[in-house]
Amino acid sequence: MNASNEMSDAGETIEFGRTSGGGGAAGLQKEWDNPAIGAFDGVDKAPGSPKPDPILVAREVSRSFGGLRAVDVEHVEIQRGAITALIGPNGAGKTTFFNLLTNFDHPDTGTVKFNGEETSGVRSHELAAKGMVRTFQLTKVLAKMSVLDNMMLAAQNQSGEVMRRGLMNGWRRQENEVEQRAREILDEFNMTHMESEYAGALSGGQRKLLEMARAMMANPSLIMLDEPMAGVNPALTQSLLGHVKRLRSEGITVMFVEHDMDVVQDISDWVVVMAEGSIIAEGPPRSIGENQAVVDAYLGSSHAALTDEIREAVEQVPADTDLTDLPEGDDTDG
Amino acid sequence: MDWNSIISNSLRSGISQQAIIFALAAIGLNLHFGYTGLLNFGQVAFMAAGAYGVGITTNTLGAPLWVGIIVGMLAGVVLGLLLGLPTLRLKADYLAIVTIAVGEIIRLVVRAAVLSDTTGGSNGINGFANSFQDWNPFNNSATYGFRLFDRINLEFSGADVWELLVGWTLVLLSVFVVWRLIRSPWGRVLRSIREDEDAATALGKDVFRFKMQSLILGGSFGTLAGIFYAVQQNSVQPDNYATQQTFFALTAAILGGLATIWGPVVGAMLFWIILSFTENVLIELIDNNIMPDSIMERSQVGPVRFMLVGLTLMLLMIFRPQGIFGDKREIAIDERK
Amino acid sequence: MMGLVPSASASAQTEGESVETTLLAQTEAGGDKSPVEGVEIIVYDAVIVDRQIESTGAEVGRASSDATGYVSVALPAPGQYAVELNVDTLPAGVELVRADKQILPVEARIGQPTRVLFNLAEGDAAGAARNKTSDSVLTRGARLLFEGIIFGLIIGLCAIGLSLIYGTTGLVNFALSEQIVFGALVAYFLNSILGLNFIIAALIAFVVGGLGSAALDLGLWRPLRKRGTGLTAMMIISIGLALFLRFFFLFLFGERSRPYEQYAVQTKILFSVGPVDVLPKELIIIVVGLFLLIGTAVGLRRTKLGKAMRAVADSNDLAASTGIDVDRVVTSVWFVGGTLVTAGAVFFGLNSQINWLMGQQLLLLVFAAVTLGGLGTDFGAMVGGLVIGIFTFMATLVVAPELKNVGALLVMILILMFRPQGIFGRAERIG
Repeated sequence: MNASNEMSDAGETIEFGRTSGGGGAAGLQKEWDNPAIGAFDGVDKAPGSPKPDPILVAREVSRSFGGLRAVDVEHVEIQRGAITALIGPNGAGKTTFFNLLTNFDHPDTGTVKFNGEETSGVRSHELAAKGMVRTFQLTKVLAKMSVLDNMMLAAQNQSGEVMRRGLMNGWRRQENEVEQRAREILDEFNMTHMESEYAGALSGGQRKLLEMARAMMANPSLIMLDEPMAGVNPALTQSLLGHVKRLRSEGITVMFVEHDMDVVQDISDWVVVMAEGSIIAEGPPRSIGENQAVVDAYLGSSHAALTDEIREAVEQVPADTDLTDLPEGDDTDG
Repeated sequence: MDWNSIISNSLRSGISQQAIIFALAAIGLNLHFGYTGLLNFGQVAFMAAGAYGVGITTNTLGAPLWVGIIVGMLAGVVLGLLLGLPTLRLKADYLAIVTIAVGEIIRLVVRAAVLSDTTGGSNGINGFANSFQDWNPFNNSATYGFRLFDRINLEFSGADVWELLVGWTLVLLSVFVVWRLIRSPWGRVLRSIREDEDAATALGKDVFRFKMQSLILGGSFGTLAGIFYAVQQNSVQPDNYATQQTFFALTAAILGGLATIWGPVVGAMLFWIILSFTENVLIELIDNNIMPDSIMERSQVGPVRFMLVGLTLMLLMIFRPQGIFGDKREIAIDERK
Repeated sequence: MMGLVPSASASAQTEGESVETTLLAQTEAGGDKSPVEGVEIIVYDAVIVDRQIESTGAEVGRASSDATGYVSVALPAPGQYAVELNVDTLPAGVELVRADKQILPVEARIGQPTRVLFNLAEGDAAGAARNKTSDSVLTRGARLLFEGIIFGLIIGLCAIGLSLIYGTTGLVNFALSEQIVFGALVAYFLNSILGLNFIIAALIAFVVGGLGSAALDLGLWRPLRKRGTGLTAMMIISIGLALFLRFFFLFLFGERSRPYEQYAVQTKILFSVGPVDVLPKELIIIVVGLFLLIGTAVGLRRTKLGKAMRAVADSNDLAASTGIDVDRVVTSVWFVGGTLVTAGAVFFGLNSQINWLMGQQLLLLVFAAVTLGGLGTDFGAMVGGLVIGIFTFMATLVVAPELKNVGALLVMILILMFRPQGIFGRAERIG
């Protein structure tokens, strides 16, 4: 089924939220609490607008390949504890920007601050250890390792990862703790039954779930998802969306790249729009489709279909609904 | 056809010093390629580093053998660092080409006449490890072992027994180290790097450090192989460290099964059993005039055996990349990358 | 105990090894030769690599030529020796044509005489005066540069073959070394066994080499691609294939090096540029080599097939979606690559000699050239080949000839450290 057809009004969206809480048995009928409600009150709906409590700040970040300027971001701040969507037409530089933020690639100019600390010179794995954990557009599950091994790998500060300690037995106690935690998270993601399967045997959607669960295992404060819903069947999309909301309810900041406007409308608290390497608009998801610059960018990018999708989505959402307020009431956090 | 001697020679090859050398080299390659996904095509460079480390320290500098062995091991570690620093951040193809190149550079340098005062040039270094046989507790004039079914000779001289005992002890120790490490979280990180470096990095693993550790540790097993080879032969010859040795050891590792603990050891034993069996059968055929000279002469037996190695490597990779013991689902090389 | 290396098995059981030569001097350009008597030949122990003397050791023996110009020195065992012609004993007016050929490498065979050849000429018959041993660095440099360019063309031809195949299939083809030997052997068979003229033999060999290469694709690589075999697995399969073929060629051909018929003993200098004498075979290599390299570059850009090849190299899927038959294009690439590699191989054999190890000797330098220029770029492979060729030869100005390849390989590693995509490659975008 196509989720967008169901988005006739806000109430339906809440329904999705309910079914999608989906992972663990405890979360089945729950809506996740949204600590970001109100966080964007009074935030300017303009590119580069300052946020009350930014976890990530990028300033004058640019990167060129050959003669092509792939990313040229003047200023952007990502609010702590919220779900921020990064959207834009194909080739807008979203993934490149992600790579620059996570130090998988290095900017020609500019600085990025994570938790107030400058990240230049910090290697990407160190950044991950500091709490900025990313996933990839094409899922990178470790195919020839079991699901449980995938999870356990992600735990930080494992003493058994030091070679000489690996030879001894000292790491076993920590290993048991790590294993227990991995099982707990797998349980939350409803994947316990497949813990001993090779990750390569999972379906595309299950891989996305595993990647997200694995990122959780790394104890992130900021999780960066590159197209988490790409290639996932609609049924699983709802489950994934629920998990993203749960991350937020647990105080984790989420930033994600996404093409599907329904997804963006459903879960994001704030939307940042990129086109031709730059940030052209920012705002709450409801207002972003009305932004002329955004519509132009999508039109100009020859992805007319996407533009239609934006328009459709915009038309379907009642103008007076603030989507960030939607998930209300059932704040029984599992 | 003397089947008794054919079988006896083949079995002896399977536990011979050569099998030990290949087992050690293959254990290292398995750690590199089977567990970490590193394409080290220059394992022979580590062997040469160890062998020349011993040879130069003992013969040229006059140090005792045990000092030479330590220097040889250190030489392997230094080589690992030198190899790893420029290449471990590059694509796997490049690592393969650079490691081959370094292996060849080392061989060309040690056999160069300008360095013959140090390395012996193309004559190599000889007679530096006499003390190894001095430590031999076995009686060199006695034979040890037995005859299987009263026919198949599995008797060894005291010197052989000593070498085999030391060699196989080294192999068992190496297997033990790999087994412990691979089951630890350290080994889990190695396997994750084999699967996807970026994923491991995104989960906070210092991929470069782990690759370097794997390269050095796996190279050290190669170094050990080179040291054992040099000490056991009491000689270092530059042309024994040609590029193709790495590929022979790789064939042994794949034959047994990559990413398995015992695969490289069993692979190395089988490799030599098959080689020896082929050689002995062909020689018997020729000597008994069953194989006419017009098809094959005795001097052509050598090439045929190595043709067989190449063929084995090809067919294994095509039809059974997991080797004898491997689990097909765990062989990383099966995927297009 | 079996030796680890098969070639180490040669033993010195038989007697009767010797080095022999007949000294004849050319009396006028293109004219007759007359025997030279009383010239001394001295034989030393030596280390020989790539048919070049790396070092000489103790004197083994010496003898002087008789009235027919014949001279023979008995050797203690088969192996590597250096044979020197004592120029001080040459009669007045007779000189060596190539001063750098005063000492020749010899790999003496078991139980039989091994022949060497010194080219002598009288007076200005061969312009021998130009080739004094006391040449200045500049003169030697110019000559080395020239030889380096020739060697660079040979490397470049092989490198572009490797690079084309890598570009379209992603395969690092280690069996290229044996495609080199195969091509050279085909030409040898046609030329020296069947007695065809070298040029004709070479041209046929180009085609046969290309067909052999295409057959490899059809019989091995295409089925493997269809099975979804990984690139790393294919690389290892190519190593297995290389080992198999290498020892098969050894089985067929033996360990001896052999020259092609017509041009082996060619001394006639076509013309000279400054201190550089150009031999006919060198001119052939330069003209045909450049023709093939430029032809390939132009063909890739102008012809329909060439454009299709480049499209496939850019993206298999995209090319397929525009109606290109990717399989056919890939097989064509294997054909073209095989032809170019064979050309390099035949020229290498023409320039020196052919043997079963020549492919292995060239392969690393070809890798170095391709890495230098950037994997998958045709222009880069050509320039990389030239740079490696020239560097290898010029290096002998400062280092021992035995170490000349070391320099080229070190340069490759340095380039990789600082510019991993090669000189002409583009930086890749992540993600």
